[in-house]
Amino acid sequence: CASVRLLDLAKPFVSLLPEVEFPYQKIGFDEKIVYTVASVAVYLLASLPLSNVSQGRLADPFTWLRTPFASQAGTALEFGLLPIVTAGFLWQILAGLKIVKVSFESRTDRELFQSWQKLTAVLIAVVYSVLLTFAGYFDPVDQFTSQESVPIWGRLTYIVQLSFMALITALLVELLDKGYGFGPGILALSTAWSATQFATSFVGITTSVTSRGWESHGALVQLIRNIRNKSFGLAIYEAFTRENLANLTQIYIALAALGVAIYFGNCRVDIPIKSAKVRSMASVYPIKLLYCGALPLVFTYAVLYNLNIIGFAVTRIFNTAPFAKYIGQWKLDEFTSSTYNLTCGFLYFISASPKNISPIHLLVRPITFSLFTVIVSVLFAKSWSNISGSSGRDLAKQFKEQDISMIGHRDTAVGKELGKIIPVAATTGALIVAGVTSVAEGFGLSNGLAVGVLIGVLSALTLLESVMTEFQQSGGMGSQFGQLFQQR
Amino acid sequence: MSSSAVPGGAKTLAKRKATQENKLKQQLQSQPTSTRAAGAGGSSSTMLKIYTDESQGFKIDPLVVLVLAVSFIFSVVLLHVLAKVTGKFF
Amino acid sequence: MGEFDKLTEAPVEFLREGSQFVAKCTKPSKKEYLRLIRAVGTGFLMMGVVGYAIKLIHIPIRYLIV
Repeated sequence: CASVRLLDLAKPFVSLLPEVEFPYQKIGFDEKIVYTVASVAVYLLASLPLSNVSQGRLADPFTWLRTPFASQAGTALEFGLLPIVTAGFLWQILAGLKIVKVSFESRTDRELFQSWQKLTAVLIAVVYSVLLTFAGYFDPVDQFTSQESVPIWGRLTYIVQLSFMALITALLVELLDKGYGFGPGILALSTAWSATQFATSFVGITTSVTSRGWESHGALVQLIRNIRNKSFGLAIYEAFTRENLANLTQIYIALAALGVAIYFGNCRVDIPIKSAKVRSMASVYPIKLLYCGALPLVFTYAVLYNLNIIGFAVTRIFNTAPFAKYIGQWKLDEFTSSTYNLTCGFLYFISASPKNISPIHLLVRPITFSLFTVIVSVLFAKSWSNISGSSGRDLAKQFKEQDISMIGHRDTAVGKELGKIIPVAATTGALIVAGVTSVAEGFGLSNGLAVGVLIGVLSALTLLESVMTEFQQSGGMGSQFGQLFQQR
Repeated sequence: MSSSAVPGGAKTLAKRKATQENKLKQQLQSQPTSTRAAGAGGSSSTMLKIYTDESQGFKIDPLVVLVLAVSFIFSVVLLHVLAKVTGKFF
Repeated sequence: MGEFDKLTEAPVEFLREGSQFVAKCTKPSKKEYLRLIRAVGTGFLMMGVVGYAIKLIHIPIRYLIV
């Protein structure tokens, strides 16, 4: 056709993008572990303060959204995995809904599609860092008391650092995705980060100075410290209610989320199958209740995170415009001055912020937040299996290729039967996960730790599966599988 | 006027066209919408695998990625140190 | 009223199908569940502690740069 396809617009940039090469030979199990640990460690180490930003004097409006995306305020990981996740979802959905025509059978199209995803990730980081810079997000909150102000080229360094970090993150994810480590890279990094966050909040021994003096990062450590120094009642009370750092309430909510995630993560419906190749080999194919795993929730939180960044920047830049207060209002927390709390506007109602003066708002917000989370998650789950190529039809095709048939169903009916089960599993699973999130986060007590742990554990279960299959394959048991993979 | 259809008439043509269109439609529908559906790895139901193809960009070794990341971290630290030493902003 | 029925029908149907599916599911037994919790929980915490240990490297670096 005459018009230029959107996909082809990436062509000039493609040769500029660095690209991790495919492994020449299959990476061994031990090597994979080394690569995974190394990538995660490097990623964790990148959470250094950006130069020209005084991290301690930065107020963070996005705390409750950060854990699943492995991001940290004022550091090189300001956006964490968000640009990559957003770009990935965006392109996959655009292609899945056929808004952008991609013929995935053609290799060049697939390559262009992937280059677009990487390019978009970097672009998102550039746009967001520019927006936040102009919104004054990186300025210290006590700017009036300190005379120094960052010159324009100092501000330019934020943008350069953050976009470069987005590229590096994309490459780390790519490294894991391409089979050097245990992938999907996004889930590996997100799991490691939320686990780290959880451990820090639970047993972190490092300290920060607060208005009440030095306090430990770990809630449990702080409790012990409190019991030593203060009266027993006050010690317990403070350990459960402190706001600037993790408290025991958050830990308990997170632990509960962990328990629920493990329970539902192991619910499944077994479909009896038999192989045509190996006679008298009846087996079961499990269809998990959480068919889409943590992805619906990751998607929902990605939407929320993106909306919040854009909303925050826009309302700050156009703070005099009348529409700004309908989008959202952020107020500096007067006790800690280390966070901005959403107090009003559209974004308030789909947030987990418990701060508001009006009691009606306080009552309505958990409901609207839950509704938003549930609806977005379920709608996502409903279409994701089709979009990503794991619908009943795709599964039936796989069965056919491997000469597997469902017991009690003709081969032609397999797709139809699976097509009945899978959407129900996907949406019900998403409903459960979103429901748990609504309960854990909706009241604003958990501040993002519970959803981080929830996504982390679900991702860990997914990763564990791929690690286990990998282990069995390389452990001599399935040499045929090994050959199959080498052929690729 | 004639109740029996003329063989090879306009109706059959229309029918043929319709079946052809249906076929095309079906083909269009069964076209893969993701790299995974096309049999080239990629995101599955539970996984968001984004980068699974090798494209035209310049190829780098995974070790180079790790080195690049570490040197980035060092450069950020260096920027901090420079700013501290000179007392200016870079 | 008809409109309203249509609006409520889809979620009700969805919930009915969902609960049927959950009822059909093989759920982990209590013993299995406790084993899983212990395994995944400790694994998760261990991973976190390792991550935390890695992040401890930041302390001297931050001391250097702030």
